[in-house]
Amino acid sequence: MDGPQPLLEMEHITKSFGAVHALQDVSFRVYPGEAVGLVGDNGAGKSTLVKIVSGVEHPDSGVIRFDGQVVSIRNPEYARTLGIETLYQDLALINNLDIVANMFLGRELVQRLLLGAIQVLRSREMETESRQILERLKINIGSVREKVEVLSGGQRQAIALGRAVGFGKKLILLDEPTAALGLREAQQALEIIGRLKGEGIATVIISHNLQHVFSVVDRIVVIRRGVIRGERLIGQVVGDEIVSMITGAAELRKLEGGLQPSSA
Amino acid sequence: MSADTGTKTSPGLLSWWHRPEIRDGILDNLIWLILAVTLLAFSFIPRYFTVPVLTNVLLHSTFLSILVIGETLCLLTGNFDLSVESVLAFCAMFAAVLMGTRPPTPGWGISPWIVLPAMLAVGGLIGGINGFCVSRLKINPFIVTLATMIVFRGLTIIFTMSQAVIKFPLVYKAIGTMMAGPIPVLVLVALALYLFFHFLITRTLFGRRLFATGGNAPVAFAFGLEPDRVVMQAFILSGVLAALAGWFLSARIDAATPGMAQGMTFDVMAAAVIGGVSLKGGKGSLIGALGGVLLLGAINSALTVANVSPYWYNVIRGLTIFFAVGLDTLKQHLR
Repeated sequence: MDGPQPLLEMEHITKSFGAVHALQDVSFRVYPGEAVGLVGDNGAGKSTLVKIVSGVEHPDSGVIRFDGQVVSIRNPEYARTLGIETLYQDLALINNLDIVANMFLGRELVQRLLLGAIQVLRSREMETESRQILERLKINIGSVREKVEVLSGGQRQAIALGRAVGFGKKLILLDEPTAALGLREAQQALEIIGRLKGEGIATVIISHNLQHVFSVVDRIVVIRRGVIRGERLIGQVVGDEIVSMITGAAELRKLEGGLQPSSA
Repeated sequence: MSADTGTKTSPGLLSWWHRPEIRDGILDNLIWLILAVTLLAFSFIPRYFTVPVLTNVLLHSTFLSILVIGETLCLLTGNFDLSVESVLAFCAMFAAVLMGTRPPTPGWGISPWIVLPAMLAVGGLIGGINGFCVSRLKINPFIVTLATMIVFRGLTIIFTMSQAVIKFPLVYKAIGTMMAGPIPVLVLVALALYLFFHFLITRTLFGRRLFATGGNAPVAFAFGLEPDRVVMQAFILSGVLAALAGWFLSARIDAATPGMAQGMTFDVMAAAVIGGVSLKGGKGSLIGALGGVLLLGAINSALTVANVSPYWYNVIRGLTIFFAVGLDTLKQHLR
């Protein structure tokens, strides 16, 4: 066959919310260690696609293969056991909990007492491990016992990113990892993401900022109104063709080209 | 200096206020300050600081305090349970009728050893109904628990044609009057419950899930913390604890009356909120809530000792609740 086996393979995925067709017959692949940019306008279906992979939403039809196996990603926990971590755009941190609690959200280390009836949190271990992860990713935070509601937007995003990256094993999904960040903070976030490639972890990045996407990904996939409109390897992108694919100008030009001879 | 000095408080007198650990420490433990000031004020009432009066404050706080535990669990998830007072009365009456004491009900003469677990189970079941309607059917907790509050009060009255049931078997009622030295056993039981649930809330996965659910349920869901299940569990525990309080109260007075604990829900809510448990969910502690219970108990007994007309009680209780909710709002602004 041609090349390596894809890590994630989605075929003919369809998803509707009432009358809105969020995704229509979408097929999408990610190879091991690859960084893929998923771009498109607001409401194009990017977030829905990511939420299906991370188990928050379920497709109406279509097949998902992970590591060559057909999987049904029922819930976020299952996605995590597969080795998929997600940084959600709108579902990031819980404000009234501290940094450690947020880092270990849904994967709390516990000690079972009374035949598992009571699960006591192993707070100290989680604290140490959180500190190690943040150090490894060079994210500077005063105390990991601080509640996240007192952190700045940049710090919050760094924590959310640190959580996804720190625990990611095979695939990391990043929905707008640089939105709401200052210039320097965004640069730091991109550096962290760039380092993942060296560790052999695949990433899917959603972003409105094409410059950010171009600086870290190998391949770019354009989605518009729930349909994949095309994809390019980063080296093969010509001019502003990605922008015209996003806005639909490329198709319009093609249509017009059929009607009247182009001036160029 | 630049223009932004205007937005920051000038260094010096108030700078400590901007350090989160100090500010939150004060705001979260405000109740103990209020309690201390209140007790200081009450010390001017003659015959207030005596052992019988203070023991009485503790004993009367017991029933309220147990309901407050369940209420705090529900509040932490961002919900509330108005039905606790009716669950208390219904379960007490259920037990009374099963044990078959004095007329009007013929009674079934069932052993208290069976009746006790059964009444706790009934409490849990009613809590489960509340929890199911709130978490699965997504009905507003106010509507759900107001409905169960009214329905189960009605059923309590129907059960005995509005008559009281008195005189229980010794096994059932002994706990109401037992003493451990100078301290009523009920007070010790309540204290043990507080220690246990405080541990559960602060140190276990269940507690973490409670706070996560109240803080941000969609995120909790996305990370597999099952907020719906957590809400269900909180309501079930609230029902079981209300049944337990029903046992203790009926054992204490050796009677189950159709109107018992009526209006108590408001004291329960007030105690929790005065104690720093947020109505918005995700914030608060049981230790604080206990402070709220003690404050209400101190105020009530002071009114009695000072011979204030009972007609004023409701006015003062109402003002206390108003004060509690005002305090909750004010604290959010101060942070």
